[in-house]
Amino acid sequence: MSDEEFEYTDDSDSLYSDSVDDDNFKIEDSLVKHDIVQYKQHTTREMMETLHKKCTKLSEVLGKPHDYVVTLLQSYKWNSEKLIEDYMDDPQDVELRLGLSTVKLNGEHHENTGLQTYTEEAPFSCFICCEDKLESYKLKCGHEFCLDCYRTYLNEKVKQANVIKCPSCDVALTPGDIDTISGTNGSSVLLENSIKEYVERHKTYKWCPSPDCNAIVEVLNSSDIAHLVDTNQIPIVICSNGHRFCFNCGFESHVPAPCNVTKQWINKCKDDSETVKWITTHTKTCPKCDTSIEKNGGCNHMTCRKCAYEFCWICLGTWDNHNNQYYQCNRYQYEQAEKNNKSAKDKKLQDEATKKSLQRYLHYYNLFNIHEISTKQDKSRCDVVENTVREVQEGVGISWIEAQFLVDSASTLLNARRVLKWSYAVAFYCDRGYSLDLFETVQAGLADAVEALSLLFEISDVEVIAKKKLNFLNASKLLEDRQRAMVLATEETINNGTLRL
Amino acid sequence: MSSLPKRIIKETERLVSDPVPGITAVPSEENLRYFNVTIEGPDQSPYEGGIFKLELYLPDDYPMVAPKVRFLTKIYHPNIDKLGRICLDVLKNNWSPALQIRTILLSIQALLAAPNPNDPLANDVAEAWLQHETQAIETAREWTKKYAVLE
Repeated sequence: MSDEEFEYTDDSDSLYSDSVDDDNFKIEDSLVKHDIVQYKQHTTREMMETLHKKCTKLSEVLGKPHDYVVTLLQSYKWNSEKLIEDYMDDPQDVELRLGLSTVKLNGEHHENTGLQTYTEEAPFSCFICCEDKLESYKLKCGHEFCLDCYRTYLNEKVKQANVIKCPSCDVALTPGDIDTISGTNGSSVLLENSIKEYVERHKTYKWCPSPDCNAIVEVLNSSDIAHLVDTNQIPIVICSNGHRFCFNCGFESHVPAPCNVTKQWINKCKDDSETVKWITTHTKTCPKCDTSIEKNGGCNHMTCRKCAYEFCWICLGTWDNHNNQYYQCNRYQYEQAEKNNKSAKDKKLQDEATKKSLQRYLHYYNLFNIHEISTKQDKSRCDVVENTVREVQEGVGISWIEAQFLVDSASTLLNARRVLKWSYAVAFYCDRGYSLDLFETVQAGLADAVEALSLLFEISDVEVIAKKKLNFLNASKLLEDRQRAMVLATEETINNGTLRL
Repeated sequence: MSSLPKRIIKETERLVSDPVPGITAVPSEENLRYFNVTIEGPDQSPYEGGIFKLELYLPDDYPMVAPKVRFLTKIYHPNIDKLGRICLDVLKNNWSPALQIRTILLSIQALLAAPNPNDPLANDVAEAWLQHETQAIETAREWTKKYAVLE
């Protein structure tokens, strides 16, 4: 969706309230105590207007033109308090530092003459490209470059969201200069990039983490967020494109897992150490080229695929010695064995423990991953569900309202699967015991319900879909109940103190 | 290969007709964007008396992007690493198309005169420089004698 589809509304209207008339949102909303987080949804276009408003206000305070203030604020990374402080202190110093004051070049005073045109007979020789050109641009520092070079220079610089300076000195280009040179509204591109900086510098703002979504959410009170996180509640917000995410983590909704569980789980999944652990427990390295080798059967006479070195799997010595005295390495060498025995035993125990904890992790990780992949498929189904609705409408001849159960069910499935997915992360951090048994029973129930609804979506025959409407509705209702039970079970587990982080 | 931009031709001509004292830059015959460069170690620096070889390449987008420069002669300097790569602002963020080959080479010469161990590239050298400056300068002098002085 493009920004243009969203009209900028009055602040009081865009304030999110529970009046969102979408039933699908309500289920999870009530579960995560949505109303505690007060927030506003923004689009990038609205943000741009906010920044412009800020500039206008400041330009009144400082009595300076709007353009000039934009450049000032960009230099100050939109920290207007600091800017006002510095400016009130010593305006000349600020101007000089930012290249906004009138300067003299070689003792001569110049004017910003802007666009300059020349004739074929007496062209302008550009210092950058050394070509003869007919059009150039001159700033108040007196440095003049051809329009082509200036354009290439600007194209590169607008990407960086910094104030653009003259190629030869520190004089700043105003938005007016940038627009004239680029021939388009290059300065607004620069301003758009500044939004990124602005949002990232202000803790009350966050970008929606969904891919290709550039909506922004602003919380009205950031201490609310901290309080929610401390009490294991999840500050879920919804961006103007309908994506729900956790404001604290800046990550997709991870209900029912609390933020700290989510953070640990993500780090664990990212961390290569789990892979390394697997490699150390299951493989040995070739004594010659250090390639990791997993032995999956066969005799102990190994030949490295990579370096063709032949060695013995048991003693890791070269195979040559084994030809005459077969399996010499198997003969018990008492003295050495005595020495090795203890450490070998320790190592074995350690290996076993590592293997066990690894298997446990892999179990939960696999489940998490399977549902992550399925979520992606659910998402693409949500994107095309409107088509299915139309097909059912046309194929069976029922009204649009009557076919809406498909949209609702698809959304229910997506949300429930996300809850199921994150519940595996919670389970990984739970202590074994009655509480976990209970938790996993509820989890199994949710998984069943997810699969049941998912199965209904496999039907492609529109007539069958229409006939099974009741099944869809029942499966969705069951799924919603079980999802709620899952969230409650998680809360209970956390309150019981069985979570180990 | 596309024809050489006028800017490069002009700069090359000027490097030959009006060379910078203590610096030579000669374009390679096969590739006129590749320069063989020598820089004399500045007086009163540990690099005094040495002649340092560098290579300089002008990328396709030059002068919109900075030239690529690398030391070929081994040098003990906190802002130059083992591979001869140079940590210098004008070669990175502070590059401007209004700068030239000659200004870049002068900046490198100035870097030899004033090493900056607070913004290091070669961490081990920078540490030595900060902790035992006299000794580090002595090492730099030895390396100069060993690698940069032609017998």
